[in-house]
Amino acid sequence: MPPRPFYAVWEITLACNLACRHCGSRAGKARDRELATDEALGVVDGLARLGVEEVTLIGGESYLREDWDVILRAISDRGMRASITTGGRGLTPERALRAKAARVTSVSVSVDGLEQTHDILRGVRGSFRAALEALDNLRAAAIRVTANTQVSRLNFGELDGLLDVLLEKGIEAWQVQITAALGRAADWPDMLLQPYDVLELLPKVAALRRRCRDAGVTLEPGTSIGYYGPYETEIRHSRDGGPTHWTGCGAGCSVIGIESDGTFKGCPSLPTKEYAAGNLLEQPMEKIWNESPVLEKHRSSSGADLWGFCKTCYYADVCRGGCTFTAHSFLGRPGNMPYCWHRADALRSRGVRETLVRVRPAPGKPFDHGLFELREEPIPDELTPLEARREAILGTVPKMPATRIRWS
Amino acid sequence: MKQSLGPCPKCRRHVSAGADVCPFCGVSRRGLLVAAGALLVAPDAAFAQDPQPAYGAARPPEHIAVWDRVFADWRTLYALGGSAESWAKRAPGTSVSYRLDTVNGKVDIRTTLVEVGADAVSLKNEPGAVRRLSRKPYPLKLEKEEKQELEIDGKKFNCDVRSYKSGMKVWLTADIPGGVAKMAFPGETHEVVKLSEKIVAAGKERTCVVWCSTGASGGMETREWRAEGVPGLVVKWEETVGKQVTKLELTEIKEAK
Repeated sequence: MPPRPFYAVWEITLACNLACRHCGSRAGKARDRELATDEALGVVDGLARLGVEEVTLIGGESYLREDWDVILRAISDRGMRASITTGGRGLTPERALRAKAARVTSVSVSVDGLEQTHDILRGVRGSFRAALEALDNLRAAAIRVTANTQVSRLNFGELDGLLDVLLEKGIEAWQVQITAALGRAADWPDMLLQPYDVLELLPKVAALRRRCRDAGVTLEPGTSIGYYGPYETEIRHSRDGGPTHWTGCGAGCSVIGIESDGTFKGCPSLPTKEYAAGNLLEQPMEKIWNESPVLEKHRSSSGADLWGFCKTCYYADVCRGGCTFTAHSFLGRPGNMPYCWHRADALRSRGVRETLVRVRPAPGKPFDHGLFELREEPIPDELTPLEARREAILGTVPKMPATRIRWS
Repeated sequence: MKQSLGPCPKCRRHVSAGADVCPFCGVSRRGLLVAAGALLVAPDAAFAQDPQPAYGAARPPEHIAVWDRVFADWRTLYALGGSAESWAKRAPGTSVSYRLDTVNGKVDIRTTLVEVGADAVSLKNEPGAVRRLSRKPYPLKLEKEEKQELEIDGKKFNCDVRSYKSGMKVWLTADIPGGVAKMAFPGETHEVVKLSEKIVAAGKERTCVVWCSTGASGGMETREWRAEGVPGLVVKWEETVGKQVTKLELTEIKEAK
């Protein structure tokens, strides 16, 4: 019996007015075929029938679709929580009011660092100010605002300063996650964290979470941040009496991802080529959810399917290899997660650390990935803190390929 | 079946429930059992919330969400309804305390005026962060202005009705405290339903205007009691969804000089 999904993330268009250098879907131009309004409303019905409780609209930029608030309202009308994740550029007072009128429950604005860093990562000058304006416009429309941040070597040293800005803007929750080598992020390997960086990242996330708690804000670690170290209970402290640790990837179990052409996946960030479970224009949603061999394979995976360090791990059966899309985006298949505190600490005790080296670039399609190799090396005698490496990374910013950007 | 894990009391790393000693630091099983017991009394377990979604939009704590719905509501868009102006008349340090009663438990919250600016007032929420309530109307596109008679609580009011491009409509009259009689949006209506109702709050009888908010899809109703003498105006707030009621009641006012 398939599980009941409670959360869906739905890319309603790939059109975008930003050109993010870490965008997993390489957004910019709408897909050749995107769901028409009536087809999208059919998807809303399908999600309600499956028992989904919350739907987050993403893009591209979701509000570049003319009918974005029609879809949003339909989600609310079917009794599901309707939320949006946005880059915030062009989120005007009018659009904020349209979202409110469609009964949006909260909007998460992506902010990836302080002004210079954010603008570099988002590929558009002024996008930092636009994101902050979006937060103001949403707050003025009495919409609950949250924020989300991708952590990389470029912004690691700015996380405390960024939290100051976000608290000033009235966020109520903050999600942080590691940038995975998905889509355009695979084109800039110098920006990505190295596996041993999690030994610095986890204490930082725990400290940020304490600051958030004192301010009455929820800090939510993304699925790629963990696992099982001394900070695990603190960062995954469950206030509903549930487990205080990572319990395995929820893709295809509690989570659904939908692309704007109707492609159905177990999680929005999974590489499309390997994880497309079906298309909603060709099959009913229930049939895909209940019968897709792709989803079933992931649901039934266990410790026995792991490889590399993860296969030998004490936590193998519970963890099942951490975040599937992050692991797959680097190593070309799931089951061996390079970013893990427990793993990095075990290697540290042997005097070694792992680095990720790109050996094959990504082909350049939405939700694609290249291939990285894990190499073990002795830990150097002198370590440079992550924060001190930013300047060197700024010298490696790749040129963007010509991308058609929608400006309104 | 998946193994059950709990954190070790010494090194804080998760250990299998069946382990005799922690494989990471060597502490004994007795210590592990104590750790498992400690998990059952997490400090803020009484204020539970839904599991957070793993991707995208994390959810704010419940008391902050309620605060926003009560104080930073639609009326702040127009800088109407008087909530921000009610604060702006007072000295920094003035505070109001409420008891919030939800299905997850009770919590006391306090809002203190930090600063009065030309554009906004800053309020410190405990627990919570500093919030700003705008004193200036937002630049919205007006589509139409007209006059309309509105009957409230058996009394007729001549209102100026403004319709905005975004689909909002607001009924204004100087004869009602706060100046707003009704606000409507596609899908939601907020309106004054009683002009004068006496309730006791923070040890004093207060004469309140009662607002009622309803959604087009039904099933949820919010009532709010507002009185002029209260900083921020809110005396009481109640939301009913099916059989579930969330209540906010004024418990104390401290006026700073």
